[in-house]
Amino acid sequence: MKALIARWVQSPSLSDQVTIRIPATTRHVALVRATATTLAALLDFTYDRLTDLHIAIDEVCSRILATSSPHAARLRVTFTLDEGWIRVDARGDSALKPGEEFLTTWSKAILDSVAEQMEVGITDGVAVATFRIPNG
Amino acid sequence: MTGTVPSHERHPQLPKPQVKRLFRELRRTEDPGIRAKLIESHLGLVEYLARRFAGRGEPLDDLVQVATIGLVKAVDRFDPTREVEFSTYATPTIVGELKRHFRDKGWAVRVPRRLQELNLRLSGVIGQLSQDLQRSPTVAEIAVASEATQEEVLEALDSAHAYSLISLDAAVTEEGLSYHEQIGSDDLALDALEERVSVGPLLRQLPPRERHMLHLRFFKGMTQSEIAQDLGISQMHVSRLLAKTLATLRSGLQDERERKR
Repeated sequence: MKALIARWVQSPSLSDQVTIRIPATTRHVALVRATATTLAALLDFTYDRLTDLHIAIDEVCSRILATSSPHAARLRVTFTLDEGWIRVDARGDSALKPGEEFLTTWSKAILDSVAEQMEVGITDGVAVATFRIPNG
Repeated sequence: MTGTVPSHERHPQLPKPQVKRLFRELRRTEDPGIRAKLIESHLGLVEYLARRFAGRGEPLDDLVQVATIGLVKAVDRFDPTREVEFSTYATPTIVGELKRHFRDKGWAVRVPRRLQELNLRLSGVIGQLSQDLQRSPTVAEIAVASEATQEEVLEALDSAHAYSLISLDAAVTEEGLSYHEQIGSDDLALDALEERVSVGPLLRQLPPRERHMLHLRFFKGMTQSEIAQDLGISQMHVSRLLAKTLATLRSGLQDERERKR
């Protein structure tokens, strides 16, 4: 499996996606972090960028979970790999209405400094956050 | 922090009848001075119990802090009218706190020895590589330099960073480091933000070094390698402290929400 993923990322013309679905509880976010670590290592991320990726994932997932609807069952995180960066798309059922913010000013300050192309919103009762972490 | 002076000399234990007397007085008067005296006189017990959990991949200073939380809880809950010595009562509370600490970190209480050893090696290896390469190293480079496989390095890094997203009692610790106190006037961006955000009161409670680290990373845009160099500590340590501090802030927010419910 690892060799297969390594082949994707070695090929400049290919990118691919890995999706993980976890129960909507904070303790399972460690699984998202572990997946991110493995993927980042395959892309030869530096140690600094790897920890930035962890910080961003923790922040986004904890905010989605903190504002999740009582019926939220799953958090879905999709990683898109390309040469030089990983894009993360995290989403979960939200208790908020469209236009309401699930990131705090503090979360935004943190994410602004570790991630690129941050986009957040509530669509059809689902909180969505996407961002990109470059390597370098 | 622990130094070479035996703990029983640094924290002389009070005679048992005096402990009982002080507890009775504490319950009657709620005097914070007596509470502090009782806590201080049992720090030897804290250190003794924390040492029993040492060598499992956690710095001793962290364990002492966790165990101290257990002691404080025991002091606040102990009923002096019961026919039991305080130390007998406090031991399971302190041990419980230590076990919970390991459990919250998602670790089995025992971290494999090979992982502990690799963990210790990695900190030095990452520091040396950062210096040699003049940038943060990749996992592949760390693996070659530490003579381990990439999988082993990933496993060890994961265990070094294992912390719960909402950690309970996530005390931010000193870890016995020497570091420059460069705190104060230049943390203005953080000060300004403090006024506007819900974590403001929590930020104000952070130790100066952790506040300063947040400022350098998130407001001055310094990399972890640069912060490590600036503070004279390892990159792994910076990364660990940042993660821990952010977890503490999240944990504080969570408590706040629960209090408001």
